[in-house]
Amino acid sequence: MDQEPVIVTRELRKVYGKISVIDGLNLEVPRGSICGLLGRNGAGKTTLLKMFVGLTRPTSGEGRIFGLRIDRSAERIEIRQSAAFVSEDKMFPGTATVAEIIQFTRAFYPRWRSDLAEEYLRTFDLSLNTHAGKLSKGARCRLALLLAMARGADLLLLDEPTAGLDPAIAEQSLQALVSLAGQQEITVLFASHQIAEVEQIADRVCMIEKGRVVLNDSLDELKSSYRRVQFVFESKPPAAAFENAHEDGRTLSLLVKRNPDEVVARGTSMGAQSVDVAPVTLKDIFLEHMNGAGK
Amino acid sequence: MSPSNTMVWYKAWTDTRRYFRLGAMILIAMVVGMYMSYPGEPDKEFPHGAIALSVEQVRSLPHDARSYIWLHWFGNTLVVWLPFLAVALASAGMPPPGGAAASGAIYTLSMPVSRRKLASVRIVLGIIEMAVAALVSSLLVCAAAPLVGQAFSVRESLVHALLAIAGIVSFYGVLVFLSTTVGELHKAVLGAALLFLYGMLTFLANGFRRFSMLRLMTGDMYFLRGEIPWGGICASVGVALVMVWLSLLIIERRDY
Repeated sequence: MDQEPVIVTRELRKVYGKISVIDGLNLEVPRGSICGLLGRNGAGKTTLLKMFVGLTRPTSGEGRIFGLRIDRSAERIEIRQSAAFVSEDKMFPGTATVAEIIQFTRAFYPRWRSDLAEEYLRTFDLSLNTHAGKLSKGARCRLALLLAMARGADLLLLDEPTAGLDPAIAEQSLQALVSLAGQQEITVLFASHQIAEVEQIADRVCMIEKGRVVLNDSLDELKSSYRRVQFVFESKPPAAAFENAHEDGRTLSLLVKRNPDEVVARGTSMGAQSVDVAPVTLKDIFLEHMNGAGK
Repeated sequence: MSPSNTMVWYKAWTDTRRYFRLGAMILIAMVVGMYMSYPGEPDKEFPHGAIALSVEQVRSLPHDARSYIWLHWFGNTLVVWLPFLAVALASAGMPPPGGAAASGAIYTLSMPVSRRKLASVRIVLGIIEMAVAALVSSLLVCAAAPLVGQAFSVRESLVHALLAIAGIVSFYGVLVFLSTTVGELHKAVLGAALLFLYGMLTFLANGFRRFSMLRLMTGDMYFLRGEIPWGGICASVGVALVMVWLSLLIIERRDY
């Protein structure tokens, strides 16, 4: 198996005027992984995905997909032959029907899976004769996923793939995505604000803030290495006992990476009456990093 | 042609077909309307003016069916309506500077095909559609003339239609450039302003009449003296090529 990462960026930068939307971003996404891209609004997720498919050109730095450079026109076309991009808005030319849009997309992808397209048409309840301009937001989203998943791409770049879907269809879509990725060793990089969704299907998580990667690790590694430590003191906790700790009355809680024993011992020595060490959710880790990055 | 190339053309067709159909239908209806209102005595109801000619020039024309049909169709209706089709075709499906997502352009641009090819096909198809609309309606002018007991030369009709196309390409090129550089509202306003400017140059300033795209489109030199206005054709096509080249440069370099 080729172990070279599918996506590699080195000091990638995108500047609009005086604003750095992507600011020296370094990222690697291994082949076959499902990577959730998390970040606040304006963190640079959409710009990053657009740069990967050549819709936006990097200002400086290097980015490679399948070893192909994202700043070279000819190589960008090659990237798009192996990758599928679902944009945040999921808009299609309004004058074309669903059938015409499928026909158009299929022509560019020799590995198009007609069987999957037909299956998703049924699952997603899409009518071939409907004009794209008359599709609801949810239907556009379902069509976008169909087009991305049926084209036989090796890489799926999805920007908010389930935004606008009802929970049942969102669940179906995610299951279809996981199933496809499992069968064909597809690499998936998807931006989402739905942390639960990322936790459900991703095996890697990348968090970006202000155009930089603040965390990039496997989900299992993250969840096993972080712990929430909570101390309860007899009275107000000692001032500045721990950096980045959250104080609530007599309670002090903090997120600890790796070995929590040292922190527990320190809290106990400060007079904590009780100590609780608990596993954390991805949301806890996300909030901790976003709050930390925002400071 | 590979399936993907075929689809690039097909996609351009789906983007523009409703404007083409509507434009062609309007032009055909105008031909039908011209013959339905054809006067029993053309001499008495002869037109008083034309876009490319002065009132004196119109008066001096032989008051026959050839002059009547040319003044009505090639000297007026076709020249007035073709620019509206150009406005619609220049904006449909082109990736605009803003609102690219709303137009579905992001989806199209994420396909494995170069922006240059997508835009070029779209631009060329627009010219083909204008040409087909102009040629079909102009040939209908010849075909329907016997219904009112008259005749109009097919050759003459084809030359006039081709001159109309040669004239409209410069305007189309400018519109394509506008559609890639300004937003939708601005595009409409600027398109209308350009039409108005051309009209002003034609009607109000005699000295500028020879520079008018509308005059080239009417083919008055060919009608009056049998001369092909090669200078005007070259200028119009040259303007179109420069505008299209600039548009392609912008489209290739823009971030979406």
